[in-house]
Amino acid sequence: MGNINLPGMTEQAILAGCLQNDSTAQRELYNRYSPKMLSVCYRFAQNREDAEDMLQEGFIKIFTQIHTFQNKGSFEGWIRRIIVHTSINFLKKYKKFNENVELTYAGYLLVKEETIPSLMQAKQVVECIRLLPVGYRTVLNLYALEGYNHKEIAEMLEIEESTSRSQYTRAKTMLENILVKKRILEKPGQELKVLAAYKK
Amino acid sequence: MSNQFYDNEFKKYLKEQTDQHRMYPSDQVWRNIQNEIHGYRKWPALTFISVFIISALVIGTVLIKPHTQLATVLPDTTGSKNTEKVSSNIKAENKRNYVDHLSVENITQQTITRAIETVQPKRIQESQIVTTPLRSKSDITTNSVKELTHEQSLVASSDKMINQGDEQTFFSNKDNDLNNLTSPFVSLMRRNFNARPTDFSREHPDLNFTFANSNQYISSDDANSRFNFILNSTQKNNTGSSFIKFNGNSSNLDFQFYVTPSISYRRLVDDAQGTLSKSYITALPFAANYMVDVNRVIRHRSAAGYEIGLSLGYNLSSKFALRSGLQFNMREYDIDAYVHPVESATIALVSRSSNELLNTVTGFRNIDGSSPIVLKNRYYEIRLPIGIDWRPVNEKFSWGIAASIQPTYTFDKEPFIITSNFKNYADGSQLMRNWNINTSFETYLGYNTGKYRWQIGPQIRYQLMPTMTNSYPIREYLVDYGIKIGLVRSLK
Repeated sequence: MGNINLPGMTEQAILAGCLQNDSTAQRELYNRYSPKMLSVCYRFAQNREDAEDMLQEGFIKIFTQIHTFQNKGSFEGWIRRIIVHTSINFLKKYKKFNENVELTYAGYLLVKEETIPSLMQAKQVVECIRLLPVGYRTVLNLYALEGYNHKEIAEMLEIEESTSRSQYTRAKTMLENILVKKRILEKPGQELKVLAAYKK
Repeated sequence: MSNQFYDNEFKKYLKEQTDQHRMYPSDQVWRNIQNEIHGYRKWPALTFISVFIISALVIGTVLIKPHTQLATVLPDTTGSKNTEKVSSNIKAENKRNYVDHLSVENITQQTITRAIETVQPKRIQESQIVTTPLRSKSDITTNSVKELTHEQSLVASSDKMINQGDEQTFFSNKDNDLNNLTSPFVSLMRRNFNARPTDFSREHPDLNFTFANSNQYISSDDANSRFNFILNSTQKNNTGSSFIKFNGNSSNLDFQFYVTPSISYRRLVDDAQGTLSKSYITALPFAANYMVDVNRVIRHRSAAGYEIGLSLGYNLSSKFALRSGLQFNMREYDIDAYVHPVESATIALVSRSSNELLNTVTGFRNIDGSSPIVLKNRYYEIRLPIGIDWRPVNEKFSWGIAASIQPTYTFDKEPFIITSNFKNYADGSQLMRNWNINTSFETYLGYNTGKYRWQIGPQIRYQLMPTMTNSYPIREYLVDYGIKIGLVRSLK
């Protein structure tokens, strides 16, 4: 039947179609959520290619396990959880999450100072997050952005809860330094102040 | 406290920023997902091309197969009587040339087999035709005579080649295998079939032929020692005493290639009076419309299709032929519909034991949509036609009638079907049959040009079974009207 963009499709219709393994509904679901979910994957991944692999695996799981969605909570939240878990599993194959990186590491990061916001602030922030070491970045993503607590993170990453806490603290500090260096934030550790150039 | 406040504010800030961030995946990601979920999409052209390449190779092999011009030796079916008869013939015609004298129609296969085993080739030229002497009775050893059954014996002896006056020459390739005589050579022999050996030899000195002096040969009073090599020939006009006979029996087979541009349409038969009883309709959880003639509420239009195929015909007589082959069909028709925001749609299915509902989603409506759209129901089919061909007139111009039944495999199915309330069109691929049966009827005018016959004429094709399975209550029968253009080549 070809690929047809159906902007008027309701979430219920998409869900019903996906339950019937209907490719049109699946495409609509993908079109609707893939940009946001790829951004999630990108924050976990080392590069865009890895992020797309994560996204692909995640959507395959979504389509094959959609019958397990029980209308408890939001559909997007369910999709997001699958994507996050898929990303973590992807990283687990290659990465270790309990490695400690000294804060001085931040000083060596190649953070280019920019006075002109060449990109949108959201993209800048995401790029700054991705400058963090993989362990820090993962914990920061899970705790600060995905809303998991340290106990859940420890279970997911198979690390100690204390490790998760410490890594988050270090990640936050490191990220603040990066954001300041990038002139997105004014002063880390005190009052959060976004530079005027980035204010809406 | 302030740290906690700051931490929360920081988290909030990061979340706001990242939530705004969007990235757009490459198309390959969706293709991979689609392939993983639904499997690799079949490419009909690949199947089509494969089938036709195979068919073309098979047919091509048949067409380019050289006529059987291999020299063979005829078996003897009549035993010694024939030999005696031949012997007397030879005596009566002892003035005729060598070829005529050697004509014997029947020699037993056993004799020939043994004869071939006895032959000892003499190679005159390493890679060319050799001549091998055939000896008359006086040159045949006692053992040789004993080995050969009846009166027919074949002996080749290189040491006798010097006695060319007493020799008969037969032709062989370097391996002296009679069955491997080369075609050019056979042709050469054929052209000089009626020539006197001396003329033949004079004409083709390069072949180093040696021919017996027929008088000397015939002077051998014991015909039992003669050598009779018969090469088959299809040329019936050759004398019955041909030395060489070409085995190229004319065939009753012909090969046809045809193309049929056509217009495809469909006939819809609803089940208002049939399986769907009124009680069932009223029990459906939606407004089923099966009491209304479906042909009145939908708008379908015919569209162009085509047929292309190859077939092999077996001519039972000059007027009747059986024909079978392989063909590819593409047929489609158009549906006038409207685009509409996607909504769920239901198709009531009928089976013997229970009634079921097929729920699906669709973005197309039969009526009341936002913008008009033309949906195409397109079917790709591979068929195996088996039919008869009758030509009451079969002269330079011919006229014929043909009909066939065609087991059909449909692939790459993407049909839109009307939902039970006649409100939507939905994907009906799940309900479509893979196998069906079609029939065809045609009449044509032909123009014969020797081996070829061009023909053209109208054709109608009809699908015997509904496109969808029996569970779909609206039965669709596809009909094609076309002009068939064919080229028939007789295989001889």
